[in-house]
Amino acid sequence: MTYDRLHNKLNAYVDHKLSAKLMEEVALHLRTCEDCRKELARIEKLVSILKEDAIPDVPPDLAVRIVAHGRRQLSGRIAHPRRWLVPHIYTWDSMPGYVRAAAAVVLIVGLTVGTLLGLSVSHEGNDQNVTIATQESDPVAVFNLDYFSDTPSGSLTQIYAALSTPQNGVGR
Amino acid sequence: MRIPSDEELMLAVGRGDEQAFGQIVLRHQAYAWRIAYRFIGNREDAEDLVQDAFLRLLAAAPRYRPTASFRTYFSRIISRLCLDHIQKKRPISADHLLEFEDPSPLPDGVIVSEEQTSAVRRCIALLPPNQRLAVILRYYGEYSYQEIAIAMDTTKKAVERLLARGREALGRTLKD
Repeated sequence: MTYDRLHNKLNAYVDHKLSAKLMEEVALHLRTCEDCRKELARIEKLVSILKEDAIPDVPPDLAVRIVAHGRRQLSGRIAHPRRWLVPHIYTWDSMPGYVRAAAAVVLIVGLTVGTLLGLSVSHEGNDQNVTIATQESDPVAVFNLDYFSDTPSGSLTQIYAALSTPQNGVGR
Repeated sequence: MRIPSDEELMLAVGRGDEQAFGQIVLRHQAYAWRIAYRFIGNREDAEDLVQDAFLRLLAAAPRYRPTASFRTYFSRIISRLCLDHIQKKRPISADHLLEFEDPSPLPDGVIVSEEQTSAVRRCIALLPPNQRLAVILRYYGEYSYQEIAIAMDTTKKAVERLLARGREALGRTLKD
């Protein structure tokens, strides 16, 4: 194992969180490496400080106050049992941060998708309008499906047909 | 007379048993207080947090199912309240750590100066919330890595990283 990897294992070594094999490997390394021994001593001292750090005693009346509050809460539940059947409605402030973030993301994605869908439907409608408008303004469109009917008198088509047809009706 | 387990007491609380709730409070207030006090740094807010934790426990009691140990279940409530406390932008004042006047005498053989202890306490208050919580649950609540992972709703690997970074930051105070 490289020096860096061994050095990184010191925290886990102090907590006895390594496998038996790794514990032995680190222990062997410590016999020969003064830097790691100093680092280990520092970690052990820190752990000792943390474990021995004095905390003020629990306030003597804290349990009494908590139980009194609890009693009122339980009485409220017993007197109005239906209240406990109502799902707890979380206010925005009481939600954890990650829940609020997720709700915001869902809202934004929903609004975006809804807007895009609305826009695409709107465009399709406009396209149809354009198609219909185009057809109405196109004078040749009236002949699209009706190839066998007579061309309107005086129309460009009739003139062209007249010019391209030889006088003997046979062709050039 | 058999002593009921925490899980049995909690089920009784769910049925409205006030005495069972009192027993739960007496059994678990000590470590809840240690965690809250070290995390928040002042007595009043720590008392409020501990009280809030037990009342939330009471509110959730009808839905409680003993799928995990009670201590782990309760630690999740405490952890969430600690992190919510930070998110509500209630900064921890490092000065609060100097308030309490009861530095109990250190056990024999532990050679640690009060100055170093104070420095470590101040440094804990300045750690990022997740690192601070992991360190406090480990060394003040005596939770295992797995229990800390459940309490913080993360993985064991993540807890190891949080503890390593937290100890590294705290260790620098001993170097200086």
